[in-house]
Amino acid sequence: MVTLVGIGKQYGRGYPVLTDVDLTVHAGETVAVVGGNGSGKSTLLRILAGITLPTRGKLKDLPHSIGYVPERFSATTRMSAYAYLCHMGRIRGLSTSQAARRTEDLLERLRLEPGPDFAIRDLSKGNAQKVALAQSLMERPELLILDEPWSGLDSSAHGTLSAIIAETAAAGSSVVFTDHRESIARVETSQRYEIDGGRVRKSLQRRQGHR
Amino acid sequence: MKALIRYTLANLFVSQRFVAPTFLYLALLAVLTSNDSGPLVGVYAATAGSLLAAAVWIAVAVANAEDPAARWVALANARRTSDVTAATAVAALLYEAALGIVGLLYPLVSGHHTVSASALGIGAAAELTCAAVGTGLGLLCARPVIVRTGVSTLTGIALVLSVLLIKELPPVSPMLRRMTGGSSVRAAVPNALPFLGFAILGVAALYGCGVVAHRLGRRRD
Repeated sequence: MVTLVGIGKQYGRGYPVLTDVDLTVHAGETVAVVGGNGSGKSTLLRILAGITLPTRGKLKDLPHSIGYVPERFSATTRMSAYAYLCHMGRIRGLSTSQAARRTEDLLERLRLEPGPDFAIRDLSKGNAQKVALAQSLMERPELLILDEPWSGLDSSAHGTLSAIIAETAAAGSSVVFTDHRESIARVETSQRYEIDGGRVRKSLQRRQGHR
Repeated sequence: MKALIRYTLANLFVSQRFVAPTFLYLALLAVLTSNDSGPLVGVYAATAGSLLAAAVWIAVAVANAEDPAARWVALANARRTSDVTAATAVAALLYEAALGIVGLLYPLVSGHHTVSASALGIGAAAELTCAAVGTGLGLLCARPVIVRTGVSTLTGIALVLSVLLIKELPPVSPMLRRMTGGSSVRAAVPNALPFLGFAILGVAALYGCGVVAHRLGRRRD
């Protein structure tokens, strides 16, 4: 169970991005955070992923293994998708051969086009997003964090992503994702939160069905 | 950690960001050390000073080879976020070590010097000191601490000039003055022992800069 208590975030002397956020994610839960552009969704997820520190508040029981998919994986690297994923697998502690095998499996499942040997910077937005998704799954994460994961993906990849989220939750991991209101109905969620102007409140609508 | 260093170096090479600081270093080496016939330790002061400037740029190049989204992913995958800063520093140091070896050997073929083990040892310690201090300063000028290229460049130049020119600021300026005979020591080959101290101070400065850069970065990411 991951808990955020009284989280606030402010960059420098700027306006507060998040104010007094309380959020709890239990094991095996799929949690949606819904909000518009600039509502603080991405910052909330980066705090949850342990990437950035909150200005105020506490994170409790952050799991050891976290998969994080950023909103825009506009990687400028000339590294090939295959090489990048193998590096990420090794960083997660896999051996080179394990990382290579996992990379091949994931890229086949996600149908990366035109192929794994192309530089990430030359991939389309949707295909770069597939690489971002694949790196988060190199090893099964205890907490999978996805920032607007559907944006840019084609319709066949939508189904694969929904299946991956369902599988991850079924295996006992927690999944937290953000999206805009209209695209939230793609997976079954255990909890929904609404975020607006940096404030988060629990949404009363529970149990969204499959589309 | 090994995997992170490997990834960081791979990113540096595919980004080609190492080319410009390497060229700067080699150009400074050619201008400052070719056809020199003075004491070898004095020449090494010039190569170490050149390495300092290049090291700042190289550390920035290593840190900025990744865009922010890719860095966030690496931070999440690394589990210990401080490992990412450490890998950046180690990757930069490894590349600078190669440049440092060139800096030690090039004056031997391009000039006329009396070579001694002591002079080579002092040269190596001076290069290590400058590489470490330069890498530390580079971490302070790179993303995520300083995002804007212009501010990063001007800060880097100001920091390099400060550590080279402020006489009392250890370890670089007092060390280089000792090597060029600017201090009270005027022997052809100065005592090697203080240079070990300068190198230790340099590595300590890198550690301190790394800690500051990491803490600031985690607030700004």
